[in-house]
This record gives sequence, structure tokens and C-alpha cells, in this order.
Amino acid sequence: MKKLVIAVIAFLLLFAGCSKPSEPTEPDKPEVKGMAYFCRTLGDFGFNDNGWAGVQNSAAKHGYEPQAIELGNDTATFENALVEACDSGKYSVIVTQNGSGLGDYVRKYAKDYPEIKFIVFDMGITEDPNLPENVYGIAYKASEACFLAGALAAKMSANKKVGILSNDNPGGNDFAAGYISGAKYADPDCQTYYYYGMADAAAWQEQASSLYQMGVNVVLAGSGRFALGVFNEAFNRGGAENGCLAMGIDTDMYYTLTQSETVDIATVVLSSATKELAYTIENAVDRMKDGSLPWGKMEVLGIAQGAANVAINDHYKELVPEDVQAYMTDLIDKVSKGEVKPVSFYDFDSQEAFLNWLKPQLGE
Amino acid sequence: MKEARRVEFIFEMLRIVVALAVAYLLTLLFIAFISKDPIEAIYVFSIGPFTTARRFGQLMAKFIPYMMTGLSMCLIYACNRFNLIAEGSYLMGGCLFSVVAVNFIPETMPPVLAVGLGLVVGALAGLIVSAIPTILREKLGVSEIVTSVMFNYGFLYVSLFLIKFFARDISMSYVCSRLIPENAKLGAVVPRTLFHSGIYIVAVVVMLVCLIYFKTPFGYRVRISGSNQDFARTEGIRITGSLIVAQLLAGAISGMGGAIDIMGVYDRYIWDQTPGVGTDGLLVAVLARKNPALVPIAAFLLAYMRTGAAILNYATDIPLEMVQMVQGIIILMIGAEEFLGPIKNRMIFRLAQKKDRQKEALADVNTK
Repeated sequence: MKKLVIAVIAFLLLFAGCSKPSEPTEPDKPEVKGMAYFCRTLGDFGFNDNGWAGVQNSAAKHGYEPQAIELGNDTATFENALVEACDSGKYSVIVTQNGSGLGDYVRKYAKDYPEIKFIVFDMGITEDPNLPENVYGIAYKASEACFLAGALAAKMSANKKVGILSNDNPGGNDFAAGYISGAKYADPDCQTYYYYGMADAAAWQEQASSLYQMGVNVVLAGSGRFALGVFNEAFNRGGAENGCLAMGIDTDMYYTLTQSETVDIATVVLSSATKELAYTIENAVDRMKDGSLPWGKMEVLGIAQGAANVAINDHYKELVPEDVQAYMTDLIDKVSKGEVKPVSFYDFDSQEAFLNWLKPQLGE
Repeated sequence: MKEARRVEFIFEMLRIVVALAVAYLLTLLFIAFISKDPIEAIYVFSIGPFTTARRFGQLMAKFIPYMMTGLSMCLIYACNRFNLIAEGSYLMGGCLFSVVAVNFIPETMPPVLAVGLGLVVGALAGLIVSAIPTILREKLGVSEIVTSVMFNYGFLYVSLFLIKFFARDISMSYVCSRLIPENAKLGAVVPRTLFHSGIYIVAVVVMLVCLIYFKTPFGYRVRISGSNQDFARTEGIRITGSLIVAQLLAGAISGMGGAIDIMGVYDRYIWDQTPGVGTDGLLVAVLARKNPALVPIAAFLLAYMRTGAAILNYATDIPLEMVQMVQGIIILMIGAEEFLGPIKNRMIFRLAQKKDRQKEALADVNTK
């Protein structure tokens, strides 16, 4: 037994003593053309894919070599992955989402790598806007897009009932705040429903089913990954003819679905509240190239800057009556000018305050 | 039968070595097939964790919590219970520590006190969490597998609730706590790496658990109750009490592990999914053959492989899904308890036969 204990101590001390000095690798290189993109997992038809599309496009335009770095679910490795990418010397631009602590790590390490430019997207609107010298941050007013989606839903609902399914996280709650305030703005009598989405597409379909059962006409699916469950349910219930419509989030879901094999299902997608990650990343890289990007600052972008909107496509024009279309065009203008202000989750200073605002808005 | 036991032991060691070797070879083969640059990928996977201080720090940052949950699962495993609550304990240990740290630990508190308080909070959280399936099992006979897995899931939502309502950083665009105060953090052993001073705490815990397990009457009671309940009862051991205390202790260790991980590795609490370290603890315990003294070695091996896989993911062209499959192969081989079993049994059988024949021969000689 004693031997074992000694062995354990020796083993631990061995590793405690094993510290190698870190050697900064900075040989003179001509020009580094790598552009890294950090995300959790690709293939979600939404947030992560959208950002990756933006990185790929801007890389193609400006001659960078894009590289996606998928981090997966092991949060303990994220910090290392970021620093390792900085150390590798392969990248001159690093584009990353703010979530999962990545924004913190950029704030912490960016000043050690002045030669690398960082673009952090999807920051919190109320976050500290001062960043290190070589970092540019983007925050989205997703509530503006969802406000418009809510207004459109209310105008299109025969039963005056609209619903939203979304995750109970700041992003999802921001969608809901915008959507519900939009529906109430367009039609104060409209009843609104908000369900917290569960962990998979099948559960979302079940939840959507219960919403449609209650007579809800339009459901906004607040997650790119699980939206298909909602679309399926709307389609199974007869789609537009039976007053079962759905809306997507982040990207123009109608367009995404028509590109895949599920073309039929696309018919139920009335519109989408888009967060133009791809556009804003491309725009940031363009501005970086011509030197007009405000480094060290976070910008809050909304409809006025083209960073969020409702998807207006052929299908929308087909489904939505002329007068509602005119109403929407007018409303988009008003929101972008700031004449109408959507409610945002970030307006509230705690989860409780948000719930206190939310409860009286919900139907039944 | 001394020889049979020796064969058992040799095969036990052989099993682990061969299983790891096969897992390793399969992995290398796999990498060679899917990578455009297999030599680089294999190098990164096998030598990668030792090439830079940062990577080694990452390895140690995984090693530390694996030891804690490994010890925890060792204790539960020794009770002969399949209680997977170590995962929930680990999660809640980290979560409650974060809630307490951002709300109640003032900046002026001396670090020793703050860290000590954090450890106590983590351990208490883990203990309370593990009390539920343990007491349900020992007092009411409810299957601990079902309750522990169910509660692990439930506790994920409890943790999210606690963070959202009591510790959330309202300015951030995702669910996370406010920044953990500096005085409640474990400093780095090697600067600019994740290798943090939690290693010393873990070393003490390993020794304490070994001591309790091998050198105290309580440890003996647990081992006996776990390996043969009827025998223990006949001997007059109070099984229920021993098993409950052992499993609560396991929960406390796991919870403390969660708190240590948050203190050492993270700037704020960001777990929106169960981190999986608790279930990996079972892997460590299986690999260590429920022997706490072997836990550091098993934990190190697992941490080494996991780190290699993580580096493989972000340093080469191999996509994440492939890396997860590689991890699956490793776990499959480690978990295969009956691997080489038939050969072992045949050898023991032959040994016995040989002995019988020798005895017969001896008897023959004697009668003559």
C-alpha cells in the first residue's frame, strides 16, 4: 500500500515538474493567407452554416484560404483550440462566434497576436463595446427581424393566433420578444403563444402540432436545426390552404428547402426572420480590406445596416395579399428608421424581468 | 489456487495493454484511411499532446477532472452499483460553485479561503445530488441506473435554471454566468497553459481515497458488501449504511471535481450540455479495475487519448465526426471486459487439469 501511495505521488510530481517553456514561433514569413472560422458544429442550416458561407465567400473574393474549425461539445478544449490556431501562424484572419466563451478568449488573447485580425460575431447587444485593437465585434438586432415576422404573422392569421417555438437562451428569447411585440403591434387583439423548444426535431414537431391544434395559424421556428419538425407538421396539416403556416429563422428557409429534396415542404414557409451573418461577415472583410473597419469596437447592426430582415421572395409575394405587402414595406421602413422600436430581450435587466413582461402577452 | 490467480492477474494486465494497443492501431489505421496527410495526422494524434506546453497543459486539464470522477466511479463500482450520478454531481458541483462564486465571494476574500469554500460547495452539491438515486436504491430498491440517468438529465435543466436566474451575465448573447472572481480561481502551474494547481488538490484526494479504501474498516466493509452481499450480511456488516456512505462520498468527490474544473479551466460557467466527464469516470474506473491507486494511470491514458483526438480535430483536415468515431473505437476496446476471456478460461482450465494429473500421478506413486 505504501508503495502505491509513493508511486502515485511520484507520478504526480513527475508531471508537475514536467513544464516545458513555451517558445514563440515567429519566423519571417511572406504573407499568411489563412482565414479560420470557429464554430460548434457545421450542418445546422442556420447560424453556423451561415457564418461559414460568409467566410467562404469573402475568402474567395479576397484570396484567402478558408478553414472551418469545428469545436464540438467538449467546452474544455475551446480555449486551447483558439490559441493553437493563433500560434500556428497559418491564419491572418480569425472569424469566430461569441458563444461558448470564445468571445472571452478573443478578448483575453488578441493583444498577444497583433498580426492577426479577429472578427467576433453575434455578441450581446449590451456587452462592453470596447475590444482590443485588432478585434472587431458584431452584435445583431435579431428582435427587429422577428418584430417584422411577428407583424406579418399577425396580419396573415385568420384566427388571430400566432406562435413561436424557440430555445430558452438569450438568442431564442430575443426572437420571442421581437416576434410577440411585432404581432401585438400589428394587431393588438392577436393572441400570442411562446413554447420553449425541446432537444430534437421530433419534439419540435410535437410541440408545433399542439400549437396548430389550438388554432394557431403561423408558427415561427426559432432554430435552424429543428425547424424541419415544424415545417413537416404544417405540411402534414395541409399547409397554407388549411391555415397552417410556418416561418424560419437565421436564413431564408424557403430558399434552403427548395435547394434540397424537400421541395414540397417549402410551400409552408411564409417567410423567414433572417440574421444576415454571411452578409455582415463579408461586409466586415470588405471594409477591413479598404481600411474603413472600426477596429477595437463592437457594432450593433439591424435592419438599417442590412444585418437582419424578413425574407421577401417569390413565394412570399405569392402567398401574401397586396395590402399586407404594402403594410410590410411601410413597417420595414419605419423599423429601419427607428420610428417603431421592437422589444428586445436585452432591454430587460434579468430573466425575471423578461418573464414578467412576457406573461401578460401570452394567450390563455 | 495461487497459479490461477496469477494467470488472472497476467491476463488482466494483458487485456488492458492489448485492448489499448488494438484501439490505438485501429485508430491509426482509421486515420491513415481518411486523412489526406496521414503521417501528419498520426503524428499529431500520438505525439501531439506532448509537443507544446499548451497541448500538455490541455492534457493535464483533462487529466485532473478524470481523476476525480474516476475515483468517484471507482467507489460506486466497488459497491457493485451502476449508479451513473457522477455526471450529475460533477455538473451541479461546477454550477453551484459558479453561482456561489459570482454572488457571494467578495474580491477581498483571501484566495485560500475562496478556493476552500468553492471546494466545500462543490462537494456538498455533489453529495446532495448523489443522495437521491443512492437512497432510493438502498432504501426503496429503485433501480439506480434508471434514476441516475434520469436525474442527470433533470439536473442539466436545474443547472441552467440556477445560472439563468441567479448568476447570468445579462449582457452576453448566450447562457453563461458572470466572470468567476480571480481569487476563486486556481492559478496555472505552467503559465499560459490550462495546467492548473488543482493537481495538488486531486493528489491529496487520491491519497485519501486510497487510504479510506484499503486501510479503514469502512473501506473493507464497502469492498466486502460490494463483492458479496450475502457474505457481508452473514459476517454482520451493515451493508445499507456502508453502501450509502460510499456512494455519497463518491458524489462529493465528483462534485468537487466539477468545482475544480470550473476554477481551473474556465473564465465563467458555460456548460449548456452535460460535460460528459462523469460518464468518462466510469471508463476510468473500468480501466483501473476499481482500484483507486490505479486511477491516476487510467485517467492519464484516457486524457492522453482524448487530448490527441481534440488536437487531431483542430490541427488537421479530419472532421469532428471522424474524431468522435475514433473516440468510440477507443472506448469500445477499453470497455470490452471479456476481451481475451475465453483464452484466459482455457488456460486456467488446463492448469487445473495439469494439477489434477500431477495429483493422480502422485497418488499412483504413493499407492505403489
